[in-house]
Amino acid sequence: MPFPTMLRRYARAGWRHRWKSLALAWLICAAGWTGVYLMPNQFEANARLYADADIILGQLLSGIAVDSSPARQVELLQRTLLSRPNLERVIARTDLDQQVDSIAAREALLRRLEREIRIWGQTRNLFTISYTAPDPKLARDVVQTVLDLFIEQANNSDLQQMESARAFLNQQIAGYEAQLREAEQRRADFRARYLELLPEGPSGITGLEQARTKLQQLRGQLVDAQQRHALTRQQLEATPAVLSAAEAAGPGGESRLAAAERTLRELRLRYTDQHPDVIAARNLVAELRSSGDGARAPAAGARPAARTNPLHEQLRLRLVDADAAIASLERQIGEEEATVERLETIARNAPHLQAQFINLDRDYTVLRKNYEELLERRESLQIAGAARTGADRVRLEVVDPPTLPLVPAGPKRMLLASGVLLAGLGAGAGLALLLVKLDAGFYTLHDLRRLGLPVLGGLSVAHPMPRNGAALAAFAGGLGLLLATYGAVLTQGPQLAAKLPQLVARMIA
Amino acid sequence: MTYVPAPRPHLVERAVEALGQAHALGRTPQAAPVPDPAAAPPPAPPPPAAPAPIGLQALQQAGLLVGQAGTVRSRLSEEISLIQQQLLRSLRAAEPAEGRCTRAILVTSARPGEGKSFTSLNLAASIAASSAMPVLLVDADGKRGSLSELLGTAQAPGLRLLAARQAPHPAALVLATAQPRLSFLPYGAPVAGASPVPPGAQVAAAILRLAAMLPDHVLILDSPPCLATSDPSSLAAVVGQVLMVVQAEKTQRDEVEAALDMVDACPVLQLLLNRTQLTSNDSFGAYGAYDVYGAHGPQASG
Repeated sequence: MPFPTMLRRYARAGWRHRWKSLALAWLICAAGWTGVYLMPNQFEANARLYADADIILGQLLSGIAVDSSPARQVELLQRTLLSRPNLERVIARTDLDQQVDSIAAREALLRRLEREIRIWGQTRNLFTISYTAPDPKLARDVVQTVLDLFIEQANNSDLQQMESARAFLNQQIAGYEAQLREAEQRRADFRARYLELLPEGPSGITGLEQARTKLQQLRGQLVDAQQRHALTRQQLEATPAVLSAAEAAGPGGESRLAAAERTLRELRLRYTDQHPDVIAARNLVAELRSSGDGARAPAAGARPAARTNPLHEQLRLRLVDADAAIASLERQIGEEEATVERLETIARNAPHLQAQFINLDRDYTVLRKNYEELLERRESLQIAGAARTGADRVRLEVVDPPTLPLVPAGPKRMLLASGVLLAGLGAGAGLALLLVKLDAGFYTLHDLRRLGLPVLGGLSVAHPMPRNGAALAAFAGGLGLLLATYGAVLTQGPQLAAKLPQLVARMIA
Repeated sequence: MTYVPAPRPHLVERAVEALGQAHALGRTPQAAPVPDPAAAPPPAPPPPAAPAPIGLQALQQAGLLVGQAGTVRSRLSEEISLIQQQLLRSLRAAEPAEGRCTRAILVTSARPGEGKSFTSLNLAASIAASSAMPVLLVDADGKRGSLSELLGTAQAPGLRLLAARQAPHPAALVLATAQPRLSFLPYGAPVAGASPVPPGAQVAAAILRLAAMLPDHVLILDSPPCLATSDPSSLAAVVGQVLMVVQAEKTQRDEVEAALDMVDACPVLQLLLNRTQLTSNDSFGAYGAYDVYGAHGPQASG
């Protein structure tokens, strides 16, 4: 069957069901419009808030791993803000608590609030808090309360945190101070007690080691001195105590003559014999030769009074010196040995002295380091606190405070009423189509031919109805009335809705 | 033709009666209620014993549209003649068989009121007017508003008498009409001593006898609806073809199928869509110039 024919067939078949369709459309539209206009108004209150999300979240969520994506931040903010205690506070501060009378209702209210208070970020730092309620004042109050809570919480948590941090630090510092004092005292005592056994300075030589070295040195010196003494004594024994005259003068006379002769020889090498120097030297030599006898004469003359040997005396002196040195060294060695003895005794009594001291020292160092760190942190906290109180105003600011909404934000009655109209018309058309589909009548010869038997033809209706204009007009009237009602609903909706109960009452009466 | 003054008041009376019935049935007669002298039926020479022929007026009241010289050539008349031709074609092509009269055409439908009587009357008149074959229209449906009643012959003896085998001369029961070559057999008054509704087999046998007595006639049987009585089923066994009238936009497919199952004893089943309001391009009369065509010539003379 060609499409236009089919269309006409369906139209023709559907036309038979027009009143049913129209009735259904009317029914749906009337019910729908009544419903739409009986829906309570919804008022929406908004507040805009400038907040540095990073800082606020950093405070509110310290210790929680913070995802840094903005959407996530807003979600976290919302979740934190709409926590149960907060919502309880919202209910308590607004008139909402008058609406609930049971625990279940309260629970439902809490859940509804959590769902209906919306927080979303417009830009990174600009947040909007919005709430929709049938009562404009309630909507405003809820938003205001949430906003207040938010600000309070942000400030409170900041201050509280700062205070607690400071208290904690102070407490810690006091504790460390006491420990440090104690450790210091212990260390000093220990050090005083075992001073000689403890390494001195960076070289790390203890008093005991020092004493031992010194003793060793002294012993070496003593051995040296004793040897020297023995050598000197030996020499002294070999040296005669008194010298003979010849022995005493000989070398002196000879030497003068020999010196003169040598001088003469030297001069002769350079000068002739006539040189005055040479002459003078020769004269001297001669004089000396001549006086050689004279010189020996006095020596011979003093022979009986033989002189003491100076070398012997010197040796004796030295021997005395050596004796004195030995005595001194021996005394020193004795003292040093006593010292070493004493120190070794002490060391034997306290075997782990070294380790003990290292421990003490380490404890002390650690305590001291921590203490200094804490002091530093306290300082930085003070600085940060000062900076934060200074930056508070920038961090959180209400851009748009919530206002009392005057115009309802919903429901969108125009849209809903139009939707209802469309739904009604659609349902009517659908009903007609359904009835047509269910109708297995024969509208054209084509339909009849599908039975598979020869079709002789069709007889037109003998007395065609007079172009059922009246029916058409009636149907058009019904449809037009529906559309007119739609228009009336759109323009006069609220008034009609207000009058509806009266109308119904009058109808019933 | 001689003028017979006696039937005239009788005709008028019957016409008024028929008119009243037509009004009661909600049918608007096309003909003028006042009989036109010019359109007065040519009074046939009736045998003295035979009753007067059924007048044209009564036929028209019963829904006759075709067959007269003065009839406006309308779309409906064209459609009727188209169907009539096809019926005759298949009638001639039919193979004769034992116990079956190929000249008999059963007109039936699934439900009452689909237009069986209207179709039968017009097809019969159309065949009678256009071909040389005489036509006998048999009313096999005796209920109120059937052809017998419409033509004012409800009390005349008819098919029931024939079925009860009490008719001395079956041919005498057949009534002539104002339409040449068209005669009518009414359902007839109830027969004393017999069942008010004759069994289908008896009716079928009566039809066969009648057909045998009228060897030239085409028999058109206006039967009751298939889904109401069992008559069509028994009649279908003796007729040459069945014409199932289907009322457009009303009769459902499953009804038609059930009705066809009733009459499948006849090998030739044909369908006819009656009272169509919608024409499609693949059906006759899609280019509806016939009204216009008919409006010019015969309208002036009619």
